[in-house]
Amino acid sequence: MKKKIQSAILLSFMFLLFSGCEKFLEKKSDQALSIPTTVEDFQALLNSYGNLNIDFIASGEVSSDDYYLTDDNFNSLYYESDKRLYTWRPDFVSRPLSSAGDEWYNCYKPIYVCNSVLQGLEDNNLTGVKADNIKGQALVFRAAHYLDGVQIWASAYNKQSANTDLGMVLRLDPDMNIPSVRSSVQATYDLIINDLTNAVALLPIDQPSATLPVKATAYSLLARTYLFMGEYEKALQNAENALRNTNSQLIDFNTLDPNSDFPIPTVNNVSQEMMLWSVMLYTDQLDQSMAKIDPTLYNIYDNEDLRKVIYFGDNNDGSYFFKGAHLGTSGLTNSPTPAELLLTISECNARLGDLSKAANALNQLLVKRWKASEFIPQTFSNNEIALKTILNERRKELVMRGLRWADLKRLNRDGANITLTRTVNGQVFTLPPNDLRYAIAIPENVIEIGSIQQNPR
Amino acid sequence: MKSFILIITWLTVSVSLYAQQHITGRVISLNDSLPIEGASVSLQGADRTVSTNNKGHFTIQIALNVNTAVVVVNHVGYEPTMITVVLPQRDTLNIFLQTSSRLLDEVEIISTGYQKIPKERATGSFATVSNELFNQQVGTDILSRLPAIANSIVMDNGRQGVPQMMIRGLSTISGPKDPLVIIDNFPFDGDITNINPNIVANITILKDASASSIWGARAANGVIVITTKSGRFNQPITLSFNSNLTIGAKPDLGYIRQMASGDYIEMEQELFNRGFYNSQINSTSRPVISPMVDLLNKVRNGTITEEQAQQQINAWRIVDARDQFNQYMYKPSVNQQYFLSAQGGGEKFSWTSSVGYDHNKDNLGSTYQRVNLRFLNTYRPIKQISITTSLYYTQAQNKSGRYGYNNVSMKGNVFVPYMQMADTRGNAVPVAKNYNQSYLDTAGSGKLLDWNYYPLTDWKYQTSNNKISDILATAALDYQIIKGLNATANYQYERQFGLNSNIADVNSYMARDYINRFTQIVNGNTVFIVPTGGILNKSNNILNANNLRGQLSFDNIYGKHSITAIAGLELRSANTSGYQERFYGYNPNNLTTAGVDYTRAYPNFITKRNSFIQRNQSLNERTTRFVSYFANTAYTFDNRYTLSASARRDASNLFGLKTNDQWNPFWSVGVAWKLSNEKFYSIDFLPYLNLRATYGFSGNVNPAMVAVNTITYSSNNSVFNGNPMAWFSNYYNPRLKWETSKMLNLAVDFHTKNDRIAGSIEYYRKKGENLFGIAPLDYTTGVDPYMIRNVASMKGNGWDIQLKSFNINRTFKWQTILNFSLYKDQIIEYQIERTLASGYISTSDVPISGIKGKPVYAIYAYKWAGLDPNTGESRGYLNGEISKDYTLITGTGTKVEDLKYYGSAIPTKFGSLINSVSYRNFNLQVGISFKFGYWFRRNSVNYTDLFSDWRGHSDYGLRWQKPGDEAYTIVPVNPYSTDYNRDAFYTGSSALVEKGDHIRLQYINLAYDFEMPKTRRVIKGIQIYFNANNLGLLWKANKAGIDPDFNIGANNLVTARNYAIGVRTKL
Repeated sequence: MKKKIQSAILLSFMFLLFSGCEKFLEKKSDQALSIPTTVEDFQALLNSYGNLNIDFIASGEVSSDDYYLTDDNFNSLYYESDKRLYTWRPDFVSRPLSSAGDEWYNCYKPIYVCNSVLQGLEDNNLTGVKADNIKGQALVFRAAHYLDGVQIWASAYNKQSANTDLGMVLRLDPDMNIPSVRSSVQATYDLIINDLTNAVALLPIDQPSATLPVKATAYSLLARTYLFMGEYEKALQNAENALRNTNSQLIDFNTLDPNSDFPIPTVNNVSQEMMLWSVMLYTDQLDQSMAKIDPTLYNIYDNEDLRKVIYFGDNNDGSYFFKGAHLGTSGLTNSPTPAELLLTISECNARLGDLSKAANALNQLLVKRWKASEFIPQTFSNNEIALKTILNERRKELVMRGLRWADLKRLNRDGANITLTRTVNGQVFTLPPNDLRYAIAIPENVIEIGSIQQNPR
Repeated sequence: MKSFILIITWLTVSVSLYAQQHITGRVISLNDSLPIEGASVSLQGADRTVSTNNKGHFTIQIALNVNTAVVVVNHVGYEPTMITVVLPQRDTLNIFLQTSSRLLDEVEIISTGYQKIPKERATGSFATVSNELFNQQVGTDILSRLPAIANSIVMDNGRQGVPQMMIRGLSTISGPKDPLVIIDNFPFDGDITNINPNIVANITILKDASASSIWGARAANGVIVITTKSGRFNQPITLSFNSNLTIGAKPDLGYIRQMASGDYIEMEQELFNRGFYNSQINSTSRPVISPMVDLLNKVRNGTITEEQAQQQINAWRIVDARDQFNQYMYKPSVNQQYFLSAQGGGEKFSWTSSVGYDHNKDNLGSTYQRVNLRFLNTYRPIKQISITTSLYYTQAQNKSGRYGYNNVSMKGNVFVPYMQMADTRGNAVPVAKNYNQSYLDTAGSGKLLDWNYYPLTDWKYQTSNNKISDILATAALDYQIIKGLNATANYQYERQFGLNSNIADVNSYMARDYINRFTQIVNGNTVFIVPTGGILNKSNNILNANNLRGQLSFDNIYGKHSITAIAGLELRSANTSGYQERFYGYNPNNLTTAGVDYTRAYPNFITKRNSFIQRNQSLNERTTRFVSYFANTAYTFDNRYTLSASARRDASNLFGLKTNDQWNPFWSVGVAWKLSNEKFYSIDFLPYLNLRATYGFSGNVNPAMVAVNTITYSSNNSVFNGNPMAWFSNYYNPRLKWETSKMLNLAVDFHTKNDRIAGSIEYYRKKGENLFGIAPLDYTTGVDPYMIRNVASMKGNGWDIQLKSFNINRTFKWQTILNFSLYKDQIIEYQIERTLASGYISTSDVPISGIKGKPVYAIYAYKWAGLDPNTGESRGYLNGEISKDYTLITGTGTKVEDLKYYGSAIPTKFGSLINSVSYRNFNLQVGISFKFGYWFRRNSVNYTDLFSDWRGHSDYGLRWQKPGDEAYTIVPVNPYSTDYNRDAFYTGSSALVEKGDHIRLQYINLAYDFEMPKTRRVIKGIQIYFNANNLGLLWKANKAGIDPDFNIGANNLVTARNYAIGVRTKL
């Protein structure tokens, strides 16, 4: 009997000890760690602007014709890949991963966050206004980065071949064990449109932070996507929706000081035109001290056009540098703005044959860009001239905004026949229209590790 | 769990004894007349063995019908003694033991942290460092002495910037590699440099799995058990005092491979002429340009004349920045150490107390002060109970000193070799830093704070002060339930408090620069956005660690059977928490600070780019917890055969794991066979021969590994809306497992006749599985491009040989200790193999090679085809053909099999040789260490880095300049253009790989013992000693003049020689 009591005591003691151990071991190993389960956790992930809003792809802008480098500048570039990218080489144009300049990784990193957030919302059965807002943000961020990527690593959208042209690797699930397979251009655009369309319904007009997408961001990215695809009616419709749903305002350049180092005013690095705070990857080629504005571009600005002095600073050697950034720093943004939307509306109307609406939209923009006393509203009578003028204005307004490369692709697709030329150390490099190199080489590194299909060279 | 209960049941089986008549006696040391506790007493021809108690008494039974008996007394460190007793016994027997002259067994008792066992009865692999050997070196900390004296320990300096101590090489690839350090009973979680080496009694190193598996999850890298000095019962009070003074030479700055000033200036002149600097000179962000480029620009602008410039250039040509560092910055180092201890003991009480003080001033005048206090008491109210309490208190303080060669920079972390920081009279002169100096001279037209950088004196204004206080308190209760069975409870509490302040006062460059950057001049008025005043960064760190252990120990002898066993439960919890904070406008005189607006971005005064004021505030808290069960047993039959086994289970609070998965078992088994105790054994010249074999399984856990998707909240909220931000800290990986390590150990211990030569030879094999490795990941997943996963398996094997010999043993004595280890490892599996060669080559560290059959860390290089005889450009191979297509050679054109493979980057043969000679009162010891069988990659000139980052190398002076030079140089021509791939090829080529083999004279120690008069025994001994450390290389394989231990890192300095003189006194 005594033995039985003793063993009972012993057993209950052991039991207590074990249940105590369970508790003892439940303590978090790092107080800052969490398993994301709540709307607050998922919002915190999307708040992390250092991972979602920066490092949009710069390779397209680097490859575009808005600027040039002197031989001195070119020779002092640190990375061989930077030199190769500038001269449109077919391969090895990506910076090493260790430099944080691998743009493929920079593109897919935020996509992973979006996928995790979207899945997390579902797994934890989170619903309601907050959850919807978060879902909308994640969809826009995902679409924005896919749209950014497909401009770089795929050929221009072409209705005839979009189902077979190589598009992005579409990752919609955070599971890292799913192999990477390239989709078609059509599938990529379908996803982008689907995500943005879903997001429109979920997002509010305003957010507590400029780093979070709003309803207008979704509309304006839809407008951008349809414009690239050549679907002008839909582009027009979405651009108009965007303008109807935004608090972003055009800045009147008459109120600015052209002598300032960064004349476009910002509050905490956000100008009032930006519809999403976004920053492109910093590259040496596009740095103020390096990139010289292409003289033919500089010369098409009228002297009464304030952008000539707001956008450009004088290097005092006959060349000009870009200072028209919307970030209050020399960093470049690819954010949609009311200006871009007006240009889209104007272009679409012109292409669809409504010249007065086209002129009207354009004038809404130009009145804020020209000297007030000198501004004469545009009127169009000829379709061809109207389109030429509008595209010219588009180029003048959206310089160094990460859009030129995509514009070059779609305009050449439609027969604009623009050949790019660069001369470096006496050697001439050219990029003919619709060249295979318009789909830039995917980093060889990830091609090897992920067994991903490289763009045709 | 079942086994745990079984052991307890088994331990409580009582033992019945029978007795007839007995012999009583006392065992006393001949040396100091103190009683010897724990000596084993047996009767010749009988099986019984007893131990002496704390007063040296023993009682042993013997059959009634015996008339004489031979009593045999054995005790560690003493000569075995036999005495014949006539029975029945009349007087108490006094047996005096003489100190043993045997060299090997100075420390025959080994401590595992859980139990103390005689080495003779252990099956596992233990290396011991005696107090005497340990004290042959002088220094402030404990661990740095070990590689020069301990078996199988090596410092790996060649693989990364920070030296890594390794016991028997690698057991893991990406997991923690540090051995576990135990002080007395428990792991020490604080800073090990807090512990004063003077309190060390001896050190045991647990090398094989059998020895270390008792420590479970953290033991795969080996365990170092530091046993501290303790008092003894029935001992008169003794006082001892040790004091020494160490003077260290200035480091040899000539070892820095600095490019010659003349070469540098000419290079800049040429680049300037080619317009290389134009974009920097003209840049609106005003980046720093070198003094030479600034000068040339002034000539071009016509602000100064050619002649003036030439004069300046001629002056710069003869400047060597190292001279100024040598003159103004580096001074001899001075270290002082004082240590006083007292100990004593009565019948029921023993105690020891000590106080230590260290004051170190290094070559740069930075100081380290440490005060240690220690109290240890043992109280034994009745025979069965002893209570031990101890308190160890440390207070240490570290203050920064002058700027060394690596603390001064103009751009990045580099300066030009002709930099002048002092004028001819030794006054500080400004040096260009971060910005264009000519522009700075005019910036703000006097309305800003001085924007100049004065490296000569800046250290006075930018200082750091780190304080640590550490309390280590222990309590132990030992209760003897019945004879042979003890229950012990051990508790240890540690609290370490660290407080760091980094002060950049208002005169420091850091503060002035930061304030100026944010300053605005509005209508001619200066508006300071960041308030004028110092910038103070403060952080603290608190460690609270609790350890609790309950243990049952059983130790008894039944005739020919001897059994020891322990079993217990252990709880460990270590919590670290801390904060850091930054204050602006700091005024040290009245402790005022000023507020700033962190929510607004302000334009930079020079670049006009907007940025936020740094907040630098964060909180952190981490907790690791372990629960462990352990048991360990050894059975010896007839002093010939020993069997041992141990088992342990650990669980920890690894975040997110289910408790069931947290448990991981560790175990080991071992056998020993004392061949020389066999009747048939008849090898005369080897009177002692013991064979051992063990096999065990242990693990390694990286606390950073978590098997769920987790996020970490950023300590600062978003500047855009003040809301919290989070980022992934770990990515979901369901297949994550513990690393495991298995080790087989085979050993022979032997003594030759008269212990002339004694030693052991051990062979081990180990296998690590499920090792964490850095696997390149398809980063289309968006997850980190490199992920740590269970990807690798490795195996290693090696030999540890330890020999001690008495070469001459007369008045003149000469002893030698040789530690020699062979070590080899190789990858047996690496799931994701990279095929691109560039992944195997790095100039800043040695990447994990990850190729089956090759060492874990190996040196590979691009095959080198020499310099082009016509142009002097470097050449490699592409598809077997000589090529200069560097993009392809360093890219897809070279597969790993095209690389030249050299061998291990970790020493594969290493050890130490210690010779001691003594003549009368003189003792001299010389310690030599050696490392062989490995390779390293040396640095050379990288033209892209030189032009873009100013990072030069003296090899520039050896470059190819004209056809024919290729016969005697490997340094390529200066191409005056940047090419990342070209330079990556040369710096990673086989032209720069060297053999690491070398022999180092580690220390010389000379001591003299004063003879004390026997009558006046107030002073029992005085010893003075002279010690020289870090005496440099005796031999090296490479011809490039490089000390392989000081190669990684651009401007590594060789640790300077130091000389100590000291005295030890005993009262």
